[in-house]
Amino acid sequence: MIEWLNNIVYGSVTWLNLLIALIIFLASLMLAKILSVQLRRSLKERMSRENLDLLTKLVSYGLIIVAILWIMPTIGIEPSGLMVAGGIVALAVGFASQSIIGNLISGLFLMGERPVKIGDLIDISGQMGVVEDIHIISTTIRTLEGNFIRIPNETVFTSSITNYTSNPVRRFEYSVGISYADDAEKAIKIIKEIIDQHPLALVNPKPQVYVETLGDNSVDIMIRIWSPAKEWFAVKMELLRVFKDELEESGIEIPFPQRVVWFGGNQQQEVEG
Amino acid sequence: MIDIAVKERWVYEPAENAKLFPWGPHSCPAEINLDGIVLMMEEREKGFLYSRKGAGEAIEKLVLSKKGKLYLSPVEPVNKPLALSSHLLIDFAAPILVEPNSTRSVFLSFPVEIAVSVGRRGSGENVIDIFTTSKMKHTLYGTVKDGVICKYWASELFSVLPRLNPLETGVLQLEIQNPNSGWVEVNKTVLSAYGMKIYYNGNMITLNAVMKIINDNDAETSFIDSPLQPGLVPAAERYSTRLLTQQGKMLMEDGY
Repeated sequence: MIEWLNNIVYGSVTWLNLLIALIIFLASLMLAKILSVQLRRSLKERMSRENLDLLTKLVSYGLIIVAILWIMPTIGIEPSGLMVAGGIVALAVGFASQSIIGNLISGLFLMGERPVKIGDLIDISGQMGVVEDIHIISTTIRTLEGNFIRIPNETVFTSSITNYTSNPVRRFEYSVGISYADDAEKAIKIIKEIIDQHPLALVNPKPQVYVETLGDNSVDIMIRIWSPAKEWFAVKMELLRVFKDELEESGIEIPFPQRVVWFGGNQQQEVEG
Repeated sequence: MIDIAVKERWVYEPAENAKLFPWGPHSCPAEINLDGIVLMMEEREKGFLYSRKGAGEAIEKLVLSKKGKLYLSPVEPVNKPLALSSHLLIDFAAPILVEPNSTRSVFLSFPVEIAVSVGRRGSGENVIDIFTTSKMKHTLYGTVKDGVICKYWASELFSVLPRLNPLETGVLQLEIQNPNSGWVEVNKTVLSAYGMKIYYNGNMITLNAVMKIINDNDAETSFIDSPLQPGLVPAAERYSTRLLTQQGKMLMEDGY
């Protein structure tokens, strides 16, 4: 039996060589399958299904290609001959796919680092929107106007990103000007009561209401409120209207820009004698 | 227009008689008046029109069912105005000082939310409405980076079981365990809605919780699944302990 395995099949390749090549190939198939299952298990909650499919295919096909290159000399095919031609092709493909590879690698780093998640409100290079999906090559966002924007992952990775919803809460502020004739203390009390009544204006971190500047036309009251990050804009829109209505109802004037012109009265004086 | 045949009319009076409290079941059509909050089930051609006026809202829903009963039940108070959080932070009116190696109980209040269900009492699938008359407020427990948004409630401290309006506030018995060798000052407690065991009858809505002091900064809260008094029945649970990580325990790592 063993002697039979040493029989030549073609060239210098024996049945044993073919058997070893077959075993290595089958082992690589099994290993690729195990690896893809493990990858799916460990990454299924961190990546979308499409990206996970792509990644597992890349890994498993890569492993099989390595195994084929490994068994080629065993079955009498010299890969060195292919190396020269392959090298030239690889160089051409490398130049052509430089940006794709860059985006791919950036995508993998983004998935590991996770500076943004699907559903986050972000600003990348002046483009503000909600992250719709993070693919392996690009990230898609939906702008607040409802437009679809695809950003290459390399741009995402190398740009500064502002994530407005990565923390559970965020702060917003208003500056409300009241007339110099009105009682600032009363206005602050009214504003604090309104904040206290709003369920999504957080108790802690504490809101801040104070006179910030004595402006040209008004006493400016600064209002700083913390709110749940996902609800802040709705709260901001709602509260400003309530402040205006309640302050006006309480007789506190929110003045227009104005300038008092004084004519220096009674300049014509009677000259005695 | 179909005339509404009101078969059941009930007006809440905060009285001693528990039987009058409107938890149900109420045969439909029905009209229930709870201190100015009017719940109605009006008969329509293919079912009933549920409506609620009061508690800051006016809502209507069509219930496509020919028969059925209306039930009311207290639920975990973290749903209104939005289900933003599964935690309730109770801020004490005054700090509580607990001596070393001791266990002390206090009574506190907590906000009440009432679920309206059709069909059968029990799981959350048939809840058609949730309302509350207690003050709704939220807060952050912990840091801006890693904190937890909580429903907020400021509570008085009671040394004996208080008598509170069950439409607005429930009674929480909090057992504070201090197994450490030093005094501790407790200012607040944070409870998880998962595993919250609410019991109720006509006169009161109750919760029974434990707060174990771990060290100078950390504490752990959990619930005791037993009523404060005999005759109380368990409320429907919307936040059941489905996952191992949600066993009703809350580790307070940002101070108490």
